[in-house]
Amino acid sequence: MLSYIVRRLLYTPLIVVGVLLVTFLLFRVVQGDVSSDIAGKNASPETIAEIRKEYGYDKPLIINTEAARERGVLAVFDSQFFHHFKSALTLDFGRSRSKQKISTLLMEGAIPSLSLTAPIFLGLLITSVSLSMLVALRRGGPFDTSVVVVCVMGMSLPILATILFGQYFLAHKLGWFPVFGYEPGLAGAKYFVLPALLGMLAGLGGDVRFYRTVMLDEIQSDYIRTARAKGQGTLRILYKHLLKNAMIPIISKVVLAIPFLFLGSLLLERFFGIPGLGYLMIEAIGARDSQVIMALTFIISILFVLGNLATDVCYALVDPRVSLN
Amino acid sequence: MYRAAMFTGSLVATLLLTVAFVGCGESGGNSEGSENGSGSAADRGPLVTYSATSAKVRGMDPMDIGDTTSSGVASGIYDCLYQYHYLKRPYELIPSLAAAMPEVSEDGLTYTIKLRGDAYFQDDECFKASGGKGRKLVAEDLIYSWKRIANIKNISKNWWIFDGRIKGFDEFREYTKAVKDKKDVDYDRPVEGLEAVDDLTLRITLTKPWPQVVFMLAHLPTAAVPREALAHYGDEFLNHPVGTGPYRLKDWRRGSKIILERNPTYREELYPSEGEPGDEEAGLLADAGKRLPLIDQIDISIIEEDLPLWLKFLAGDLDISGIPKDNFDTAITPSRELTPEFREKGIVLKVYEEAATYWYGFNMEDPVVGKNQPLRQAMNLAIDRDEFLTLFLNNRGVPARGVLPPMIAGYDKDINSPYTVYDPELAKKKVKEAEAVHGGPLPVITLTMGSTDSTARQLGQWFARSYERVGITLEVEYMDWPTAQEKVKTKSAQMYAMGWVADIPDAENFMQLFYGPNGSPGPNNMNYKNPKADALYQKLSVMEDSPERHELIREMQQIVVDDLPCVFTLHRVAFILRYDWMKNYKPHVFGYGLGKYRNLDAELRRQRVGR
Amino acid sequence: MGFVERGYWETMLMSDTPIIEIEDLAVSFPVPDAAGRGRRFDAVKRVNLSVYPSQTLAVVGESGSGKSVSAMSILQLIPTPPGKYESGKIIWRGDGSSAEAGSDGTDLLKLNDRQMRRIRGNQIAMIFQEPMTSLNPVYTIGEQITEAVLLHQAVNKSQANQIAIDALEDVGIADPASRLKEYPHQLSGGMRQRVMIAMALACQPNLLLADEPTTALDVTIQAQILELLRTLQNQKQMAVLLITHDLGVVAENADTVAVMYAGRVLEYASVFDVFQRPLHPYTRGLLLSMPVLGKSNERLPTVMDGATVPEDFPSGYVVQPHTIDPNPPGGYGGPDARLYEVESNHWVLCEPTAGNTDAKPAHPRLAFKRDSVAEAVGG
Repeated sequence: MLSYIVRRLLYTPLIVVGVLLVTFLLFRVVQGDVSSDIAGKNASPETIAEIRKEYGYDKPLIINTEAARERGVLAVFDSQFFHHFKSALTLDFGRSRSKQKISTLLMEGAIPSLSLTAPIFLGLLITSVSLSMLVALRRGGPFDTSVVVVCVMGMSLPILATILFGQYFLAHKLGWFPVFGYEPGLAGAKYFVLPALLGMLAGLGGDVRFYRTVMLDEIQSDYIRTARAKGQGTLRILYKHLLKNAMIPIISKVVLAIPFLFLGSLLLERFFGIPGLGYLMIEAIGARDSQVIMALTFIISILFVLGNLATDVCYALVDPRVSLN
Repeated sequence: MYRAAMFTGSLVATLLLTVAFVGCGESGGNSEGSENGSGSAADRGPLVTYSATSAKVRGMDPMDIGDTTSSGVASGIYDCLYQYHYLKRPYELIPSLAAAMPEVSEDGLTYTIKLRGDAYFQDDECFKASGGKGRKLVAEDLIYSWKRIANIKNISKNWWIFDGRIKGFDEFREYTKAVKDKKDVDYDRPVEGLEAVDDLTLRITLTKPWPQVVFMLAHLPTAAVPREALAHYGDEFLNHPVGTGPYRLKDWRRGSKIILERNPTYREELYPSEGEPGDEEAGLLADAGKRLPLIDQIDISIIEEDLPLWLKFLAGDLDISGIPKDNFDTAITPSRELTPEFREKGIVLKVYEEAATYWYGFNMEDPVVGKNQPLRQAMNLAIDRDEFLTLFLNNRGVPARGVLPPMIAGYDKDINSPYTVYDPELAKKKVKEAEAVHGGPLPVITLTMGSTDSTARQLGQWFARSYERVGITLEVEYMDWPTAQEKVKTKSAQMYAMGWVADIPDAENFMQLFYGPNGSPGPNNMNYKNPKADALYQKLSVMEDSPERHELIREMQQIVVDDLPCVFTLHRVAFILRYDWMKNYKPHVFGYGLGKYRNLDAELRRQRVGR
Repeated sequence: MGFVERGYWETMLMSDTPIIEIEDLAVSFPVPDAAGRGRRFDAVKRVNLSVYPSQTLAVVGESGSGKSVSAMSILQLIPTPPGKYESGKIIWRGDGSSAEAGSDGTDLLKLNDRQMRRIRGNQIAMIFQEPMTSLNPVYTIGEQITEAVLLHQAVNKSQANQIAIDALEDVGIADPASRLKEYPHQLSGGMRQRVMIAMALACQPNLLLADEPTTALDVTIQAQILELLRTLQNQKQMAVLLITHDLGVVAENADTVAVMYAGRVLEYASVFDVFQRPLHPYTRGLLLSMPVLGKSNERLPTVMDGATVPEDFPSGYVVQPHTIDPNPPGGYGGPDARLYEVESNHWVLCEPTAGNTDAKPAHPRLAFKRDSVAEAVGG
């Protein structure tokens, strides 16, 4: 296992280079020079030229032969691609349009985003997996049917409606939760309760339906019957025997979702005033702040690469039949 | 917030109209408060006012500020040479960092400005020589601050303020271009037109007369910043503001909250003792002569969505708020008054006109619309502006018949503009004429919308239907704002949604939009060109304000409404709600940094909402 | 064509009470009709069976005849819903309190899940047909065997491990200690079934339900497993309910035989009687359909066509195409058919008629045990 992880990690730089190439193509070659965007209206040509310099658009795309002739061989790397490369690898993505340090923005935003999405994610995972196991246990019965109906209804309900309902009735009318707010640290936990619940509510339908299918596949397996014949209790059967066998599809789904946790939940963040990355991303897209978008894309891609490795390792951990070679 | 951007960004999409808050801009950073009349504020703890803004503050370096939200907040921290009188109307400038209004030379080229000697930068660790004690502001500080804007390495958006105006300043900018690194720029390099005669005397020499310069010296980007702060904080200066203003930054949780607290070393500045008629009765002079600021702390939440903002206001967590479109009917009666239910809560409504005009511009270089005056007349005639206001703005606006909004000197409510009214029958006749001019049936006209949301689509459909009724086929294309702007700038949009929010209370600010040489990518994005108008603009732009100048403005406006390079739609009217515990509230459409005037009846607030 | 020579047999009365008695068991499942409306279908009905300690009852029948449902009902393993226990009793006398002779026993169908769990895997264990899938693929053999041990016995982990090792040794697995750490997929099919048996026997149950334990295995392994089961049964005086459709297996292992079809027990007698004197035409057909070595060129007879429920059996049913005299007491089918003791200790499903009214339907008990040296020889 360890050697497999090491081997996979050795491949990772190659993948990172691939990601860099793709983001470079997207943000430097396809999108092209955004200096005039940055300059805004009525900018003079010299301002635009200065921005081109600042953002390196005045440099050749891949290699700088001219600089190499003038300043020696190493200057051949003084190109857009290698600067892109360097900024990504050092996680120093430069500054946003508003001249804020992008790495700071990302770090500041990731914490509130994760404070919201991680509880939603974990809560949703535990609830939907548990619920789906119970539903699978009572398949065809009235409990199963009603859960399926509620799930479909939940899925059809737009998240916006859920949010408006929660914020207006639960927080404003009934006063069960604060309407809006954010504090860093534990003091702010109370502000996260309602958005986290609403986020879970919004995701529950789809998740339960997905996991229910997974569980139904497994619960009819013979080993479940064997476990019951052994005298094992229902809960132990579900959480020990069923769950571990259902882990492969669960892991696949879960690991794919993790990188997106960093992006936060745009609507929940906006409505509940959580200063996360969701808004940063939307704002960056709206303003075509390619530096920020590139940084986000790069980080999410890397998380995906690591996530895939984690998926394989987790597969091997839960299922002895999977061998990592 | 529709004052979307100050000078630089005053072009706004008409669509922004649908956003209903004056959460920032006017009320933006500057909510209210005051010690209550009884004067025992000390034992009640600090007076804190709560307000919200709907956009995030990006940074607080005056050099880079271009949006209303950041302006609203930073203006509490920074001072300019001049400021608007809080109460007087029409709007009037008074000294801020300056000791008096400038002495202007005969030829209108030299401005000599005396500084008051009692303005200090707030205490900050960047003042290492004095162990963190704030230093006295001197004339050099202003020159340094402006040179930062000129330094091309800083890529400031605000260079247009000085561009071509001050002697030797463009050469300084030229010089910075050649410097390799922005750290190497020599700020001590002399600029002929910017001279610190002594510590407290500043002399500005212009390249040509420019009466509006005083307004610019009240514009936040020209505020004074200390060199020490830049040396200390470098690129992070935008997160560590150090100013001379009434407040200083206490806490900034990016994206969620900004707290300003009283600057203890703020110079002695007093609440005005005179205003316009009615101010006294409105209680606006109750604090006359008191030392500013009146409130100890300004707490600004960033609330992007309407619903939570509205709910927070209703709960009394915010002292002031705009009215979301969806909630308008619950708060305002059809006769434009506050509903009794709201009045009982102690909520007060203030309605005021904004200094803005919105229109749908034509690209005058377009072979179809640009060359066909009857077509443009028809397209103006076909629009029912009242219906537009009802459908899309809860009637929060008045129809626009010309360029200037009501409060700008030169506005003419009886303007001779027979085509900026709704007359479908006349429009149909004009369409016939237009076909004759065009030499055949009219082609499809394309309208570019800089938004893709549902309101934009409804607007587009409404326009298409209005034109269909008079025989004009309109096709609407929807795209994001930057893309639409790009189309406009490259003259490839035929017709597009646009607007202008005045930066200064002067008609020139609008008239520049119709000056030929300002064509795209300049502010005249309609690429309108009329030699008579150009000649008038050249004259009025360098004149001191006077009745003769007003006449020139009127003449130029008349030429524009005769040519109709756009479909004028409306001027906005703002509806602001506040609780009665917030004192000294008077809307101001140009000024920022008004928080220092506001006061708060904390006792009343406690009674009403227990806070 | 005798499979079993009577001379090898000894009948003997064992303990006078069966360890388990199934009385009038009926279990139903929903069968949605075309309109989607739920109709319920009795998967087993009026099933009456009993097993004595150390006796082997073979339940034979084709797929869907209700063999497995009957066995799983004993442990309440039928998922409810969708299944439902409609009626009947399953009297269990295998637990300590009710082991004494004459005890009324416990009705397993009346136990709740908690009580049932004390019996499952402990007093009554079950092994299943599919050794490939009946073991949990993600746990080691050791974890799975000790799971049952730890559940039912007051032992610690290492003691449980020792029990598991012993159990594996008992079923003839070499190097059991290292096998404990292996996963099911690392074992062959025969090994897995041995593991299943070891797992079932680790808690020394009084009754073993063996649901087609050898069907999935090849013939050599099959013989080994059955031999193993027999040996263990004799060592531990364990009752076995052996479910199979393989008459050869029945002939070699069973003491008593119940023939099931479509959820009903058609015939219930000693293995000798069933093979030598089959009374129900279905049983006769079944025996005829056994391939006989040397006669394989002949087309095997069809046992029964068409009918799926005994209610549908025609009165005076005759197995076609064979013309065996049905000799029914009345008819074999019909809604009122019950098991009647048509001959001594030979029970057959028939309709009540004037001829057998005095032979009252009852809960059959067959206290037979074949001689331990007896070999039932398959033909």
